[in-house]
Amino acid sequence: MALDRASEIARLQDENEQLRTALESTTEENTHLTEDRDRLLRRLTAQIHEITVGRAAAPPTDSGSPSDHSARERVNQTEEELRATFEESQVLTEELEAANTSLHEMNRELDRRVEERTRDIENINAVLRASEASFRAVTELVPDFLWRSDSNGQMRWYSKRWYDYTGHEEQQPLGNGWIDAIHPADRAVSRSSWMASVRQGGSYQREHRIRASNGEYRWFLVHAEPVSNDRGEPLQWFGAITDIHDQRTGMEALRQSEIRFRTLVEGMPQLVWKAMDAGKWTWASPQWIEYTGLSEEASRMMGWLRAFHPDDREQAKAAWTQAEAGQPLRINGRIWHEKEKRYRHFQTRATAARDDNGHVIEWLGTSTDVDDIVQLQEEQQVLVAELQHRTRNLMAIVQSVMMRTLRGSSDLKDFRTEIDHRLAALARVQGLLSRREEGQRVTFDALLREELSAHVALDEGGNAPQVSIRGPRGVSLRSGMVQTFALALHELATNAVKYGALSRPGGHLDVNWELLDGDHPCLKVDWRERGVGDMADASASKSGYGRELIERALPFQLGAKTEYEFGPEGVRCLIELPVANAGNGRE
Amino acid sequence: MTDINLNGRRILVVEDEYFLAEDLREELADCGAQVLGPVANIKDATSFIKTGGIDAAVLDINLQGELIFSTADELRERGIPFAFATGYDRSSVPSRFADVPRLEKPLKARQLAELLQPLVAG
Repeated sequence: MALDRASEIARLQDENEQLRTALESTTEENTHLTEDRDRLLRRLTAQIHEITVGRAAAPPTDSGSPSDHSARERVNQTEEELRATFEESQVLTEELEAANTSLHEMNRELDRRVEERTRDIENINAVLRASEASFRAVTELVPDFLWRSDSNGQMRWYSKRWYDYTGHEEQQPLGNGWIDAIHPADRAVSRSSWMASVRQGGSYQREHRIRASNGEYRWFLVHAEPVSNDRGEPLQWFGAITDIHDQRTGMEALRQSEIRFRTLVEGMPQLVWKAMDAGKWTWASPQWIEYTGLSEEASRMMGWLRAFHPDDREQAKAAWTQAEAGQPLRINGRIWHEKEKRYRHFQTRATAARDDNGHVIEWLGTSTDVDDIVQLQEEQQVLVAELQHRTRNLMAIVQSVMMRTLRGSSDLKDFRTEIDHRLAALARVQGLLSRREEGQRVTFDALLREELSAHVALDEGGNAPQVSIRGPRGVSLRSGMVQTFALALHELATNAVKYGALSRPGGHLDVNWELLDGDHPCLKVDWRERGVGDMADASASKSGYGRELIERALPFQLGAKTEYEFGPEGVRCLIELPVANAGNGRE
Repeated sequence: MTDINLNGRRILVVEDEYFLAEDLREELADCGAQVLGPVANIKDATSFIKTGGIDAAVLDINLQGELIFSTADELRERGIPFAFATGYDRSSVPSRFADVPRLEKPLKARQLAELLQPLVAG
C-alpha cells in the first residue's frame, strides 16, 4: 500500500521533471528566435540607412543622365532588397509571435499540470500520513514487538512495545543495539543466525530470552521475512517478536512432569497403562510388555484383552461399559504371565483424567498382581474352615468326654479330678498338633514322651527310674488319629500312675514299639507293666472309659487292633495301628 | 426319655469320632431308631448303602480328611433322606446341598432326632 503510493509519487515527480525540461527547451528556442529577429532588425536598420544616404547623394530625377540612371537602378535595387528584408522581417516577426503564443500556451499548460500534480502529491501525502498513523496504531495493537531492518540486517525501526518492554531509549536498539537486550547465553547464536539469514535472504526464526526493563528475562520467538524487489533481492526485513515464555516454561514443566511420571510408572511393580474411553489402550508400560509377553503395539486399542484369561474377558469388557457411565474401572481378572506360562490373579484399576468440562482426557490404569494374596486367601479359607471343623469337633468331644466321666464318677470330687486330667490330656495333644511345623506330622515317640512326661520326669532318652521306652523314632501318625491315640495313651499312663507300675516303688513300665513295614505299614506298640502284683483294687470298672477308648474307639476310628489285659505282673496292652508310611515325616 | 419316636427306622450314622458316633447311636436308639453303623469312613458307608434298607442317614462331612459329598450324592440318587452333622459352616457345603438339613456340632442328639422324624415320616 505504502509502496504503491511511493511509486506513484515517484512517477508524478518524473513527469513534472519532463515538463520542466520541455519548458526549458521551448524557452531556449524562443531566445534563438529573438536573436534572429534582432539580427534582422539590425540588418534592416543598416539598409534603411544605406538608402537614405544614397538618396541624398543622387541628383534629382528626370536628368536622364547615365549616372542618374545607374543611381536610380541602385536605389531601386536597394529598395528591392529592403522590401525583401522587410518581408523577411515580417515573416520572422509573425513566426516569433506565433512562437510566443505557443510558448505562453505551453507555459499555461505546464503551470496547470504542475498544479495538478502538486495537488495529487499533496493528496497522496495526506493518505500516506493517515496510513502511517494507522500503521503505528496497528503495531501498538498487536502484542508482538515489530521491527524493520535494512537489507544489511541493521535495525531501522522498532514498534513502541519493544521500548515499553525493554526500557530502551529511542535510538538504542537500532543498528545492532538490540543485541544488548538478549540474554548473554543466547546472544552469540542469535546474532550469527540473524546474519546468516540476512546473507541467504530466507526467513529467520529463533527463540531467545529478552531482558525486560525490570531485569528479568522472558522467552520470545523472533520471526522475520525479507521484502524483496522484482529481482528477488531483499530490500528490507520485517520482523515480529512473540512472547512464548509461559508456553515454553509450561512445556518444560510438562516435560519434567512427564519424565517424573515415566520414572514412577516404570519403577513400580504394577503394570501401568493408558487408555482412551471404551478401554482402547494407547500405551502400556515396559512391565506390562515383559510380564505378558504382549508387545506394546499388540496391546494397543483392545489388544490387551488377549492377555486376560478367556473366562475373564467378558467381565473386563463389561467393566469398561460401567466405567463409561462414570464409575472408576475395576476388573478382577487373571492375566497371563509369560515367564511362568500361567495366568495369575490381578486387580486392575483405573481412573479417568478429566478436563474442566468433565470430559475424559484419558484413563490411567494399573494392574496389580494379587495372585499370592488370592492363594493365601484361599488357603486361609480352607484353614479357617478346618479350624472351625476341629474346634466344633473338639467341643463335641469335650462334651462327650464330660458325660462319660460324669457317668464313671462316684462323686463330684472324683469327677473333678478325672475331668481335669482328661481335659489336660486333650489340651496337650492340641498343643502338639499346633506346634508341629507346617505339613509336619506328629511322631509316635513325641506323642508318647509328651504323655508320659505329664506324669513322670523323663531324661533325654525318654527314660525314668521306673520307665523304659524303646523303639524307632520318627514314626509318623496321621493328624486325624493323634487326638484319639493321645487320649488312649493318657488313660494307660494315668492308670499306671494311680493303680499300676508307677503307683508303687517296685513297679516298672516298659513301652516297646516297632514299625511293621509292608503294603500297609503298621505301628505295633507293646505297653507292659511289671511288679504290680495284685491288681484287684484297680478295678476294671474304674477305668471303663480307658478300656472303651482302647478296645472300641481305636479300632473304630483308627482301624487299630488292640488287646488289653490284666496279667499277673500288671497291665499288658498291645496296639497295632496303620500309619501313613515308614519314616516319612511329612503329611 | 423322649416323646420322639423313630419307630424302628433304620438310620445310618456316618461319624468318624468314636465318642460322637457312640452318643448318636445311643440317643437315636433311645428315640426308637435302629442304628446302622456307626461307620467312620466312606468305604464302610458305601457298603451299607449298597446293601440297602436305609430309611435315613446322618452324615459327618469330614472323615479323617475325606469329604462325605460323594456318599451324599449316592443317597440322593436312591432317594434316601439325610442330614449333615458338621463342624463346618454353611459356606463349606456345596450349593447343590443347600437344602439339606444341617446341624452344627456340638449337636444335641434330640435335635437330630427331631430333624430326622419328618424325613422318615410315613
